[in-house]
Amino acid sequence: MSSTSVPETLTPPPTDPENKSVPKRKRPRRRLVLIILGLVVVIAGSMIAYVLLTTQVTPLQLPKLPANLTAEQIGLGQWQEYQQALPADPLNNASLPATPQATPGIALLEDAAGQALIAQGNLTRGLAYLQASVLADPDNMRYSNDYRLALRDHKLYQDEETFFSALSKKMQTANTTIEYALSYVDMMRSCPTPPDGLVCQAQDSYSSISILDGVLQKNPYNIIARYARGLNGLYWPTLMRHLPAAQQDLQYAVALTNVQRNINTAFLPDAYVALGDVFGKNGDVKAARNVWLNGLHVTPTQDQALLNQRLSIPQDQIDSQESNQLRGLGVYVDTDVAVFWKKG
Amino acid sequence: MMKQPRQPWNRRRFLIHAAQASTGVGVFGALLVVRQTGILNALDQGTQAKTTYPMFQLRDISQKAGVHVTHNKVKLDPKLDNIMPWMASVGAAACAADYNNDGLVDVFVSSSERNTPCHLFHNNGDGTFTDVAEQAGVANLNAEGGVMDAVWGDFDNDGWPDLYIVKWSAPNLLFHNNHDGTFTDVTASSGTGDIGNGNAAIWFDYNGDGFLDLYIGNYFRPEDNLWDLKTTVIMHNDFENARNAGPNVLFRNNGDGTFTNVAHELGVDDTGWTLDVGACDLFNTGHMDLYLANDFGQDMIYKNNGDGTFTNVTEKALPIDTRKGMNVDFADLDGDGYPDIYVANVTQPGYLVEGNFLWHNNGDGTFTDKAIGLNVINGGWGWGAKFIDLDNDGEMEIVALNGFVSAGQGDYWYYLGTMATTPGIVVADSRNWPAIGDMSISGYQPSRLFVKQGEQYIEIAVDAGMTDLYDGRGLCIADFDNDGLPEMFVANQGAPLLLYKNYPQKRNHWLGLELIGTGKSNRNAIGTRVTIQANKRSYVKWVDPGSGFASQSDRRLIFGLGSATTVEGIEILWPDGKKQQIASLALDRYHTLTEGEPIA
Repeated sequence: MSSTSVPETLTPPPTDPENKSVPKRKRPRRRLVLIILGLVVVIAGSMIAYVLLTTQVTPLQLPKLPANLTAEQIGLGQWQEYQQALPADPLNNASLPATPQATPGIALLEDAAGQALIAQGNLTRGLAYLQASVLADPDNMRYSNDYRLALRDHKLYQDEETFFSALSKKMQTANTTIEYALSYVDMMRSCPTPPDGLVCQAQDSYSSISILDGVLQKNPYNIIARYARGLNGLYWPTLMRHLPAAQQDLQYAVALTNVQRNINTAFLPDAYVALGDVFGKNGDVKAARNVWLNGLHVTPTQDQALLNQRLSIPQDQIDSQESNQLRGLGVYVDTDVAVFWKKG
Repeated sequence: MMKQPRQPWNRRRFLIHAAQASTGVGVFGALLVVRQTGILNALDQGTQAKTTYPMFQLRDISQKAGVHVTHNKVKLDPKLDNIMPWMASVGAAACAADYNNDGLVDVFVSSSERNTPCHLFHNNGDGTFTDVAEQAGVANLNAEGGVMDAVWGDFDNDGWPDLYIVKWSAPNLLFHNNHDGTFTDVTASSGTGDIGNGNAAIWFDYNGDGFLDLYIGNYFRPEDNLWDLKTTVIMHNDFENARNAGPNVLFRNNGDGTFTNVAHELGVDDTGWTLDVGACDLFNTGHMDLYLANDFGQDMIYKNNGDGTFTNVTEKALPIDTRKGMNVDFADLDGDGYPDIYVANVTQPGYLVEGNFLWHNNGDGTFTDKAIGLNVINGGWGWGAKFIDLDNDGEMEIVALNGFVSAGQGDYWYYLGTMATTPGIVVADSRNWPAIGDMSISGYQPSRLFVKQGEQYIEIAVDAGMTDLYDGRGLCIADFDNDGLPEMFVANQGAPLLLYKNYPQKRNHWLGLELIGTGKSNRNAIGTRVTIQANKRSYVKWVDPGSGFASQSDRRLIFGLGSATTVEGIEILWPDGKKQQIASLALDRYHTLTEGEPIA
């Protein structure tokens, strides 16, 4: 067999003189495939590395809280009352008095009636019912919140401040005092539009911070007061040096969500966004993104929009956006604190 | 003819055709891209811009011209020591007029410290000046109080400019021009010795009687002698809405050498913290209206009703303004015949970004701020600012001086900001202010020179040679060498006066007018409106009464006409309402036009 066989390497295959096509080159094609495969591997590796590196989440350094903090201790002891559904068709409810009355048993009904009347365009009467509900149960933040927001939305800032100033002086409770502090945040909207009215706004913010100082001295774990004071600090121009205090308050607020999240998860993204904003406004983009990524990890998917919005900001624009569009002069804070207890 | 046999396609032929087609497509594509993008034009413009940028060169010639004198700041009652740099931050003024009628513009320059001399720089006509204040009798004006501003005006219509001096804590002074290079103090006999702690004054004929009246913008209250205080509660009581300043004064010229303060009677005794006053025909009525640039609050506009009264139209005319008004100047930027207004405010990044105003006159009694869109908003801590056509191309530039206190490396802003934003601090009491010490407050700021380019302005001050970092105050624009190009005298606080001579890249045509009013028009023709048709557009200017912080510019009008070699018509609306039409005038020179007289 070996003597008759011709080595393949020495015997060229018979050639067809008509066939002038270039012989197929198997080796280059193989090389090309290898190169492409290599590139694919490198690109995929880079992408994986990029994703891993950019989304690496470092645990946040947060204040240590006492074990077993209760909803009461974080200022939300009445959350179940706050979550009660408003009575349907309140204006036709036989229990609704013809004139508003500060009676505890009908406060929820009066709250509903007040809102219904305002929706119908009867502001004066609606506000009267809302005010009656607050007076019936002054420490109930749900009623205070509804009344205060109604005043705010109708630009009755001075009425807001006057009422809650008097109420907090009379009751001297954390909740009424927080509402008083929030009335100053709302009052900032009464100042001329920036760049005018900057001192006016800053003075209102300062007043709000001062009032919240008193609340937090006695109630250091009150999550609403922490958050409100933190946002106040975040409002100021960086050079006015309020950011360190804002950072501390908002770190507390984030830490306190460990307790608050038993009520709802709606506040989680707000807390993480605000804390990240502190770092972003201070120019620490990495720390800001880390906070927001931490937020993503604990926030249910359906509530992640705000966090994703922050994470989508080009990193070189975070600083300026924080100062000019997201936080800071002329960016009004929404003082609706129902986010701490609202259902769903 | 025999048909050429078609050559069979082979690889070579295919490649040749492909290359030819590619070249064609490439050339066509390139032409299309050039056409669509206008890249050639852009490249061409870029080359042009390179050759013409900066459009002007400004060179300080103050030493050579002999005007390089240093302003001396006030030193007030030691009770104010904690904020003395703040208190001593104004007073540097420069005001132009041809006081001796030799055809050359002269300049009065202030000093403010006790017993330091002011200067009257006589223009020698050879590019130099001689200080003649001593012999003229207007040097030693700081024996009591301190000089803050000055304004020239021919109050008795004798054809010779008289000089009014605004002071702190001492009577203002009125000097009558003796026609021989000297002046006589007529303060007492004229009744113009207001002790108002003022910062600004203008001459204008508000009631159309042909005599110039005086409006004075006051700052501290008149009862506060800043050299000998009985109380330290002398400051503004709010940073955004202070109304506790000294009342402004309007001296009506009685026509007999005496004046009567009618400000209260006419409702123009504003108690805002006025730093500058200006007047122009804002509503196209033929009468001069008042604009007050108020520190710590709302600027004011008083409309002249044409019957010797005013109406405060601020609420309708302007939006709410809590800014720190420092300066006001007027120019018709868009040729619609209505003056637009530039107002300096405070811009300090990181603390207080107010921005300057460029009030576009809407022609309906309202004004809209266009400073952001036109990119003329950031003037730093603003002071004197003026419209100026440096190259006579017909487009106004804007020069804005700035800088508050240039001292040590420390920054007072944080302490100022903290005080201003802390409720309950009585800021009116100077004792409650943190000590400034050697700290700077918006110091060492480069001036701004905004130049129109396309639909916006670009800022080129440093490139153009305006490189000083002094705390600029009064900006006096005057063509001291009569070449048709405006120069700038810059009065710096506690620092040397600078004279920026103007060297534009391109010399354009211009027309200069010196106007003399007669009859019921004041002789200085202040308030006269001149409209020139050229280049198929209108150019409108008004004879200015001394608007602009701590300054008064050359009263003559210079119309920059670009490449136009002729004007198509001139209309003069004199203060007394008479209209004069002139077909044309020779360009590139000044003309003296007297109301009612034929053109020479």
